[in-house]
Parts: sequence; structure tokens; C-alpha cells
Amino acid sequence: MMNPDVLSLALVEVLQFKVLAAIVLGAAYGLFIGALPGLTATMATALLVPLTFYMDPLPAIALIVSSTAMAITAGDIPGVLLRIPGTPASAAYTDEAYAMTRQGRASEALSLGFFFSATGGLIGALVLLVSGPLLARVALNFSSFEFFWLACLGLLTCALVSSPQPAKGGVSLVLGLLVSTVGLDVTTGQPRFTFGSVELSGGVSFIPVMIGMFAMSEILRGFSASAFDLPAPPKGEVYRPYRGIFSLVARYPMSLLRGTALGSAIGALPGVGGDLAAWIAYGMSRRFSRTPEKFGTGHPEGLIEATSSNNAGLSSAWIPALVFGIPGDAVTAIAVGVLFMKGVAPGPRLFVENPVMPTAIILSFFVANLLLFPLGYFAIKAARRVLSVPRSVIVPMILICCFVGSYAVNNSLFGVGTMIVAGLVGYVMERNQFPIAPVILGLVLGPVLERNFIMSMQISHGNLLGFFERPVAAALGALVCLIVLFTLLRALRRKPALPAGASTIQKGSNG
Amino acid sequence: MKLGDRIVGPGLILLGAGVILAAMRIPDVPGVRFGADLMPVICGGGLVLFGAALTRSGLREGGPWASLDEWRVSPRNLASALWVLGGLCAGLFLFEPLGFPLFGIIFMSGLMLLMGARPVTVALVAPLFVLTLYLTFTRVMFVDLPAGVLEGAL
Repeated sequence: MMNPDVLSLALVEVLQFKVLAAIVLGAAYGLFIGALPGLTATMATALLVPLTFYMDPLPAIALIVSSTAMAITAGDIPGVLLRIPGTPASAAYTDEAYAMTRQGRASEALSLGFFFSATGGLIGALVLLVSGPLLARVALNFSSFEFFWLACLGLLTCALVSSPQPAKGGVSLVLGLLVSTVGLDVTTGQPRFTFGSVELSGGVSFIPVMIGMFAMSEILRGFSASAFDLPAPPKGEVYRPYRGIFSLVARYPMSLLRGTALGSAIGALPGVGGDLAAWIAYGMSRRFSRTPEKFGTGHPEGLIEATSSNNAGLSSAWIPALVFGIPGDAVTAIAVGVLFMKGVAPGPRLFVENPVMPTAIILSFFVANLLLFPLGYFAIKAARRVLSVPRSVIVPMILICCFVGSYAVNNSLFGVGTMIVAGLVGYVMERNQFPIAPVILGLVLGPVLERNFIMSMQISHGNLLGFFERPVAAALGALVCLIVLFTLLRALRRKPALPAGASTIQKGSNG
Repeated sequence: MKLGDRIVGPGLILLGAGVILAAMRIPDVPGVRFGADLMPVICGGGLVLFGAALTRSGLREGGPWASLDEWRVSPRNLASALWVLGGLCAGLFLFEPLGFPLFGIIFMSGLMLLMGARPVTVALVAPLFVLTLYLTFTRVMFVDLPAGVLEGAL
């Protein structure tokens, strides 16, 4: 159980002015980015990283936590008002929300989005607070074998869920791992793929790669697909935030509970992250509903379940990131990278050696999600104004931030060059249905995977059966092998897709 | 730019083979059994494997080899995209001599105009945003952004 002394010390840390200010500013920024179609929560987080260089670890992570929570939640705004999902997670229920808008119930749709997202986020944070220290105690007995299999599980699952074609997810993952090998080798210190460049000897920083792949490629995609030419939001309706929200809670308590439980469970799986939760929750809500025929006609039941699972999954995605040091999605991969930069190594040892830090990070989730209620009020009031900010102003601002952020990594133009290359590669990858999240996850987790793999190989004298000798390692290894086998069998049995002209459903994976 | 799996797959196989060859040229360290080449060889193997899988599915499914259809957009969007790419690449050479404030204002103003912003908005927003960003980074976060031709004036 959580130590009360640790809890109170962590609370004091979180209630410092600089942490609270970071949370409020992060939320305001997340609202702005999340509400603009085409700009994702991951992109919001990526652009924040250069700012965190100059912050203490806790405010830096609090900034990321609150901006992500708000950006994911604010992703509902363009979905509700324009029928354009702000984030991949909100795409699951955009049609339902827009149907409410057409009936003159945009205020209700936005209110329930914010209210149930915040509630789901709070419950997810509670799961994280309770399970984190317990799992950390178990993970203290883990050796390099268990960490190797956990990293494999996370990477493999992320690659599989982020693309309908497993081979494309695999390519993204391998590219990320390959880029992580550039620089000096983690064990022998030998240079790899440096081509005599001093800059490459230090390795490829994940920050410009991430800024390029998520921000620059998104902007190029916007130009190519004319995604910046948006319809105007509906006018005339009076927005009364949270009006009648408690009657919805009373009418659909099971939707709230099921959504948060599902979101917490799915988000906690290494490599899965929270995006998938909203899709499954919406489908499950329809399956268990007494009135499934109302779905798609502006019915709040599915919205409640999906939005609450959304933010619950967002909180619990931090379980593998904080407890095992294995991030669950692109956002937690970025956060883990920031923690490493600050000299804080996430993992079970952190809960023993510095328990206040992970507890304070978890408490910052509570503060960020609690703030969603009042900030949501203003966000709903300001929703139409945010959407009316011209793209001709926002896009150039974002690009300038990309440039400066990449330069600030090492005060060198090498970072900018990396960002440009990563942006172009990311653009081509996305256009060809190669997911981006596994690249970032591979880049961040690559050194962890390689270190544990080499260590395990040395311990087992190169005998791969040694990877299955410890019980937990054997179970994790068997799970990884089963997933690989299942994927291979399914791929071999797969019938060829319909030829050109047939549409495929492409689901985003970058929150 | 859309590329068919029949092009991407063999490309990945070639890349993977190149990675394996390059990794095998990393010299061994005496006494180290699992050295710096192991992980790159595994990654190269992965690229070859997935490349083969994509080649197989590409050959089965057919479809176009390559397509630039998504760039059949308005001249304004095309010009904006070219300005972004050209501007960022030019920034690699002009950023330090011109300095961030001047480069930033030129780059941002050009893009805003190409995207259809009114000149008055451009004249107000671009300098204000770039200078605020410059002062925040240099004075608050102590990042050494080059002032270039405006050295001494800011």
C-alpha cells in the first residue's frame, strides 16, 4: 500500500507554485492544440519537450501530463462542432457527437466529453496510485531477462495495434530500433553508423525525430490533403457547460464504470496505450446497451463510455512507463525520455529509492484531471473561438517552434537537419500506412532493450533457452512467442486485399 | 507520395542487407562475445524479413507502383508546402548568419502570406511572435539563439 508519509511529501511537492503553474499552462496549451483539427496530443507533447530542458523533473512531467490530458479531451471539440476528430481517440465517437450537434445539443456533447473525460482520468489516476507501488515491489525481483521480455512485449504490441498490417508496424519498430543504435555502442563504446560525424557519435536525439515525425509531417500532410480548409463551426446555439450532467451520471452509471475499467485495463498493457480504449469502449457500450438502435443518432450512452475510457487509459498508460520503465505509447515514450534527460530513471527502483517522485507524478494526474472541470467550463464557452483562429497564423507559429525546439536540443543546426529528415520520412511513412508511434517507442526503448538483451546473452552464455529459465521471464517470453506465432499464422492465412480503388480503414496511432 | 508495397518491400530488403553488411564491418573487441554488431544485424534481419513480407503482399494485391495524387491540390497549398521545405532547408545555411529574429520573421511572414493571411495580420503577428519567442528563449531559458545581423540591437 501507499505509504502516507510518501503521499503527504508528494502532495507538498505537487502543490508548489511552479508545479501548479506548469499544470495550468500545460492545460491551456493542450486545450488550444487539441481543439485544432490535425494537431494531435502527441504533437503538442513533442513541441513542449524543448521547454522542459530548463525545468525541474516534476514540473516538466506535470506540464506533459496536463497538456496531454487536456489535448486528448479538447480533441472532442472539433469532433463535436465540425465532425473532424481532433485526435485518433476521439474519432471513435465523432459521428455520435456530431449527431447531437445537428440536434442543437453541441453544449451537452461538449459538457459530457469534458466531464466524463475528467472523471475517467481521475479513476485511472487512482488505479495508477494504488497499483504502481504494488507492481514496483514485484518488479524489484526482475532481472535483465524479465525486462528484456517486457520491452519486447511493449514494442511488439505497439507495432501490432498501430497498423492494420503487422509487417508495416514491424518495419516502423525496426527503423526506430536501428536509429537507436547510431552512436557509441552501449556496452563496448564502439562507434556505429557514425560515418565519422562528431554529432552522430552522440547518437540521434529522440526530440528532433519526434518533432519532425509528429509536427512537421502532420503539417505537410495538411497541405497535401487540404485538411487546413475547414468548415465553420455551427452558430446560434447558446453554450451552457455542464447543464444536466448529473442526470446523465445517474442515468448511465454502468457506462461510466465500464468505460473507466476498460480504459484502465487497456491503457496499462505495455505498448497498447490509451487510444485503442475509446474504440473498444464505444463498441462495448453498444453491445451492452438496452437501446443499441439509438447509437449513431446522437445518443449520449456510447459517448460517456468512450470518453471516460479515453482518459482512464491515458492515466493507466503510465503504469508500464513508471513501474517498468517501458512506455505504453508515444506520449509516455516522450515523458520517459524527458525523465532520463533529467537523470531520473523510471522503473521499480525509483519507487524504492525516491518514492516521492513517482507518487508526485501520479498526484499531478489528479490535479490535472481536477482542473479539467473548471478549465472545461471555459473551454466549452471558448470552443468556437479557438476553432476560428486561422490556420494561416497557427501553422507558421508551429513550424517556427519546431525549428527553435530542434535547434535548442544541442544549440546546433544538426538537430534542425534531423528534424527535417525525420519530418519527410514520417510524412512518406504515414502516407503509406506505416505507423509513427513504434518508431519513437523503438528509438526510446532501443538502448533499454539492447542493454538487457546483451546482458541476458552474457549471463546465459548465448543459450536462448536461458531466457525462459526464470518463471516470470518464461511466462512473458511464452506470451511474446504466442503473439508472434498468432500474427504470423494470421498473416499467412490473410486473403489478398481488394485491388486499387477499394478503401481501407486507417486508424491513427499517435494520440 | 504513395508507394506500392512492390517498391517498398524490395527497398527494405536492400536497406536491411546494407545494414547487415555495414554491421559486419564493425571490428570485434577481444574478449567480447556479443558486441556492437549484434543489434544492428538483428535490425537488418528484421528489415529483410518485413521487406519480404511486404513484397509478397504487394505482388499478391497489385495496385499502383507509385502515386502523387494527394499533391493534386490548390496552387496555394503546393506553394506553402514548397516554402516550408525550402525555407527549413535554407534555414540550415541562413539561420546563423541572418540570426533567428530576421530568419524567423521572413520565414513566418512568407508562409502566412502564402496561406492567405492578410498583410496587416502578417505585419503584426510575425514580428511579435518571433521576437517574443526569441526573448523567451534567450532571456528566460538562456538558450543561445543567434541574433545574426541584429546582434547588439536586441
